[in-house]
Amino acid sequence: MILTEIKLRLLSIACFLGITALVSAQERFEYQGPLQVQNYTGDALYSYKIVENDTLLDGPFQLKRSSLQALLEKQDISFLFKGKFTDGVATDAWRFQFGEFQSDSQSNVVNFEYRVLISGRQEEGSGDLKNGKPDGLWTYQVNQIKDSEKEKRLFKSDITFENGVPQRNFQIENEDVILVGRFLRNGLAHDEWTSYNVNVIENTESWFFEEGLLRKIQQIDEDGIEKDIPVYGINEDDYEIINLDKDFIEVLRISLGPGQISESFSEGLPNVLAANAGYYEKIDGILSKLGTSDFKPKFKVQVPSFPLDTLEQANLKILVTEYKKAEEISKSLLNNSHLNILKRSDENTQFYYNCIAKIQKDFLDPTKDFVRLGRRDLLQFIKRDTYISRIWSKTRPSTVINVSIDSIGTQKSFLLPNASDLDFTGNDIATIKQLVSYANLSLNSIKNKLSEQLFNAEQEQELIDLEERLILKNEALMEQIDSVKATLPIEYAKALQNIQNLADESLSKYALIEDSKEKFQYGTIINNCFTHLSNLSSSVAELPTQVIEIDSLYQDSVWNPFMAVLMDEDVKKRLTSAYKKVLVPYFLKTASQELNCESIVVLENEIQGSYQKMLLLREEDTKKLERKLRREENPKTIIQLFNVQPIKAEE
Amino acid sequence: MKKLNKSVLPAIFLCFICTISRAQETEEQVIPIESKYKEPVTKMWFNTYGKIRISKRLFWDAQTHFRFDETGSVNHIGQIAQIYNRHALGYIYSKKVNFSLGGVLRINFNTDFESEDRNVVPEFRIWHQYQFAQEVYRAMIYHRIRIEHRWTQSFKENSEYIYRNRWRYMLRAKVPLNHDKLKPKTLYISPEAELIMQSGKTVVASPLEDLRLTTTLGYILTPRLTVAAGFMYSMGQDLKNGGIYKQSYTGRIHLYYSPDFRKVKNKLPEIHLND
Repeated sequence: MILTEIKLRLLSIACFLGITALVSAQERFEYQGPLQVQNYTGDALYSYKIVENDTLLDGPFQLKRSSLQALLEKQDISFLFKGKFTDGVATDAWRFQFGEFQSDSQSNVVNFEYRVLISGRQEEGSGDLKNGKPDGLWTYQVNQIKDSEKEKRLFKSDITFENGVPQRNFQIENEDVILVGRFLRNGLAHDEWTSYNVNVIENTESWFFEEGLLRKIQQIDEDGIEKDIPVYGINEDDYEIINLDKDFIEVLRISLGPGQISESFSEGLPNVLAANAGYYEKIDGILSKLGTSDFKPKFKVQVPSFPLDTLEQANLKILVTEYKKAEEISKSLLNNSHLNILKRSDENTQFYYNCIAKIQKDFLDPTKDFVRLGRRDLLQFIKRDTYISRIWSKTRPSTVINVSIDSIGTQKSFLLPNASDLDFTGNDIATIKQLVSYANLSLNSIKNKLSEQLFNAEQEQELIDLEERLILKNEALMEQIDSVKATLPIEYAKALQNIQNLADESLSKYALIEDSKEKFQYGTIINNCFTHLSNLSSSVAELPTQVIEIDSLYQDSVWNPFMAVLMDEDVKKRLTSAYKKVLVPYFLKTASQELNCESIVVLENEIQGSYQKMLLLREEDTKKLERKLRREENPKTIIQLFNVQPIKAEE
Repeated sequence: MKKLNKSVLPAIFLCFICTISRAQETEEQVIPIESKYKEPVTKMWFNTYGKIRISKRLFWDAQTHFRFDETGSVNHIGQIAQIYNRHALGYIYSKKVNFSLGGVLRINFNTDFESEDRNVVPEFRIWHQYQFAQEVYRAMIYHRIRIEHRWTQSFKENSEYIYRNRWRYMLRAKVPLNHDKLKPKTLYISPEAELIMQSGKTVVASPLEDLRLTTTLGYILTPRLTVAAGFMYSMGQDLKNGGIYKQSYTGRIHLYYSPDFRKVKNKLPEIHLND
């Protein structure tokens, strides 16, 4: 008895310990099967756990895809993502491979293996992650592969990170440029960054950073002559840390003025950085989908900052909007083919056309970059007064727009009323805003003046086009009807002739209209009508075939024991009789009577709807419908019973 | 199951024939030196033929005939002679071959005005039939073998049943006239010849019971309804005297119907009988 009690106690303790162990240790599951991450669908193998109903990746992870069949058939797009997660965050060593391969479909047997040589392109990024951020050396390579060997390196970047921040020396290269440089511990560019042109080794450009601030650019040309370009001083009030990307290069280009930095550097450096950023973004996209990740190379630089005050911001906003409107009007008018033709014959139009071209050239083209920088919030990093003073190298445009209107150079001026108080001489945003606003108002005014001439010319052209379409459609209709009329019974021919008559009458009526506006309106209506007439004539011409089709559809094959032959037996006779004896004659009668553009749409719909319904009813239980159809002679009721959806006249 | 049906059915028929009782009567006959042909009598038949489908393979064969004879004053349709009820269960072996087995109850009316015997006597038969059809150009040709086991009695009071076997072969053609094949709304002509032989104890010198030559004109109204009318000449030996031949001219009006009361879904394999 005592022994039993001890056993029970031991058992309950064991149970308690077991349950506690189960509760405290979160269970890890393993998944093996298909998985899609972004556009990558492949075979996955990973561990995960469930925390508060959320699936958290935890443990080794692998997702891969490759298809030998696809490779042999055309091309295989393969990939492999391999690494580890801890509590849903990517950690430790990771490898990302992306491949696009083709094969010449020839195989060799080597050591009991079939080998297929592949050619194409492979990308591979590898390195360590800590808390989802790159940590340590990350290498990303893109290679061109030929016959399973590396043929050419298309891209390579070696960047060392610490907790996601780039550190120490780095090297990025593509086919044209090699860029080497250094970062401080906080990720700011520092010391000398040099880019070599791979093809011309002597031609180098070095950028000298001091804690992220680009102090000078040194260029050495092919003859070994050095040229120093000072960039940012250290005497500005305010500095800001921004990413070293295309925006920075843009700011730099504007700040230095045209022709200061070499094409190769200004193109090559951002390109190589953008390519690198693209590859990192690709990995970031995949990791973010799987868990938390912050995988972006943050190359930082410092730039002087000239913040916009509230008024400047408000002006910039208006300026951007007005520029967009002005640009739209200018482009649409300059590219308007009618206007281009009209200006040759009309002096006034020629004048306005030249005004638009001048506004585009003097007002809009020069301010294009300014507006773009404004849109991208980059004006705050640019000394605006210097920049604006450089925009118009010669004279600034004035409110009086002088253009020549003939070959001998006769001048004519355009000036908006109340424009005398406008002043375009300042070097601030307000001036640019005034200038762009004036351009916009001028363009609007010109557009209004031209619109009537333009409308008339356009309408005339449209009318000609419309007439051509009408004639083509009428001819096509005539041809269509003539080709079938002779082969069909008289009642069909009569209906088709009536359809043709309606088309002819409509054209005659159109021809008699004199007012062009009215003519255009009526022409548009009958153009639409002609389409329906063509459809209706097809429907009428197809009716005999459809009746035969319905006839054979509504037949069962029955074995006649007295004749020992199979015979066709008509089934659902009330349906076929309603269709053949009531509806078809009604369709033909309606088509042979007075038609108009509204009634043809309805009739066409009834013909097609009834036919389609007959096709469907063969297999349906129609006992109820057949009862209702008994002795029904009214076609409209039958169409209603067939549940043919009425069509709205305007459709 | 199919194979079993095919092999068992003829066997059943054979056993049946062998076990039929053989009650027969004998009567002395004086055969004339030359055959004598009786004056033809005129008759009229109104026949209905039903083949009612009851399953994929089986049908009920139901025929009712009203047969009239002449009287002294009225040809063909002077008086009722027989009412004929022929029923059988039919088996559809294929679209072109079918068999039937069943019974006949025939009511015979005494058409002899001078007779003082009974007016009506029944006649019983067991019959089985084997029909084969074949296509010949646009026409159809039918071979029909029908075997009947027949118990008849005369109109005399208390006369005994005599047993005979009838051996019938009919060759019939149906030729469509207004279409290229037999189908609804077709008028067709149907020539036929049937030889009916008989055997049994009472059959001494008259094995040729009847030779029927008929031509019918028919019209197929629907796959399930056909009407036909024709004319038949027949001749055959008198049972009592093989030297004497009876003759007749018979007008025939036929109604053929073949309803199918099965549910729609069971009708579906109508064409593909052997699937």
